[in-house]
Amino acid sequence: MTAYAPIREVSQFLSRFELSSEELVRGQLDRAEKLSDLNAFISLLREEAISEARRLDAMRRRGEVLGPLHGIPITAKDLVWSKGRKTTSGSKIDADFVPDRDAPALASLRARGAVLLGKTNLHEFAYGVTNVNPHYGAARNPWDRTRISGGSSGGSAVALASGVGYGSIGTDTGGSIRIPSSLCGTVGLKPTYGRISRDGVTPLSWSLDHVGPMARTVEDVAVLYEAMSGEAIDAAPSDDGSPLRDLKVGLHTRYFFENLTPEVEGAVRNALTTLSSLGASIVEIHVPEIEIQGPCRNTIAFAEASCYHEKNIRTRPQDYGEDTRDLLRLGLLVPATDYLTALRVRRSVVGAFRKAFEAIDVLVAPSTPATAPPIGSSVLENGEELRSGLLRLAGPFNTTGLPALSLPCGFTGNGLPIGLQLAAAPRRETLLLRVARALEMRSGPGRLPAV
Amino acid sequence: MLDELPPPEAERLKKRFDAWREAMDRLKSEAPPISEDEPLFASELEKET
Repeated sequence: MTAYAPIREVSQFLSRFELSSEELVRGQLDRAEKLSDLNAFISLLREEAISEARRLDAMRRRGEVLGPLHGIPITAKDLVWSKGRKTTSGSKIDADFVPDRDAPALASLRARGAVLLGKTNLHEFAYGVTNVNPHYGAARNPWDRTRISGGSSGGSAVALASGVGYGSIGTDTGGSIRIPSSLCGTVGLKPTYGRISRDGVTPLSWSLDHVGPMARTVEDVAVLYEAMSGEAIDAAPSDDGSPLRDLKVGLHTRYFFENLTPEVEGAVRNALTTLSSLGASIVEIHVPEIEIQGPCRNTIAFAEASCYHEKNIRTRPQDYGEDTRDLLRLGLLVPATDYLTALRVRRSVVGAFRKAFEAIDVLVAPSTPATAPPIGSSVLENGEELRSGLLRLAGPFNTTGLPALSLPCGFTGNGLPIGLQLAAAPRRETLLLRVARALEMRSGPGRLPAV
Repeated sequence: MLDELPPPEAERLKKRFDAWREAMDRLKSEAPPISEDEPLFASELEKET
């Protein structure tokens, strides 16, 4: 068994007593330490994780098994509260914050037997997409250590891509689960707004924040999502050769296929061909409101983030990194009238997308218009400014609150992963997982980075 | 606030603010008329979930 095995396979090893959770956890912690140059973690919880694994091993020997996650090591982004353990939010401001309880998202995985290995690196307060963190170092992309992981859940994606942890809890306010998943070749699901509790998760922008699972495969994301949501998930597509027959796939060429690198566009169009071969029909759609959702989301995010940070940005500005400080100061300048206008415009954007999803089942788009740029770069390979470019294709589903998932769909000539994004109507996560799983099964085992 | 910041920071912030202001002014022209009962986005979506 390898560090990259699916949860189902690891669980079988544990069930047959061919491996103990303690052995598994020790091996994973050693691996994380060997790969510490990737800066995936802000803290590793060695003693706590080993002790918990022992407890779960003893339970298993007594025949008490909590489910498919029993004894499985996971990680959580370090703004997800962990009882009695530091939760820094990737910041100096909260460097010593120790929550008195677990976030429900984490508690739900622990209650099903998952073992928390450590807390992963993130863009400071989740307010950015590079994961170049001024306090804890830049999370490095395992496919090319000179490149960014993407963010803000970058440490989670790096850990997964480097074979540490079998799943992770991420958060997504403008793409922060899907962007690093795309750039690191992993899978991430941003569920419908409010589907997974945001309680016990340090907010960035409360009306845009989402909590969701990240893993190496769609199959594993489904296992984690089932545990986090309490919803029974059957993501297995039928095996009759046309598992996606009757599925209407929306293609929004304007906006989502503008200004892509040729390799990204080629890989996404190949995925569309695969979806057709699995029985899906492709329907071209156009939602004019797509053009206004970006500034609408920015205004909401600027105002809400600065509202949360108001006291600290006024009294301790020097304790924030430069890019986070600039954005928080900008938010202080947003008038209440503009925030309210943005909320009202948002309602019309939401309505337009819901109507569009009456004609289609899933929307297919790239997750990011280009692959991971070098650390320190301010532009993407397609020439777009880095921050707005990485947010452009993922952000619409935060403005609308619709569920969206990123999965790998190919590699560039220089070996960098390319991400495919699927989105659906509210609460259709199971459909997203089923379509993504059909693609995953067709593409076969994924490539692994040489870490 | 801009007056209180060191020049490089004030300049950066002004550039970002101007870009945001321009986009927001465009957005305002797209805003729907105010209806009598303006529900909150969050409560609407959460009701569904």
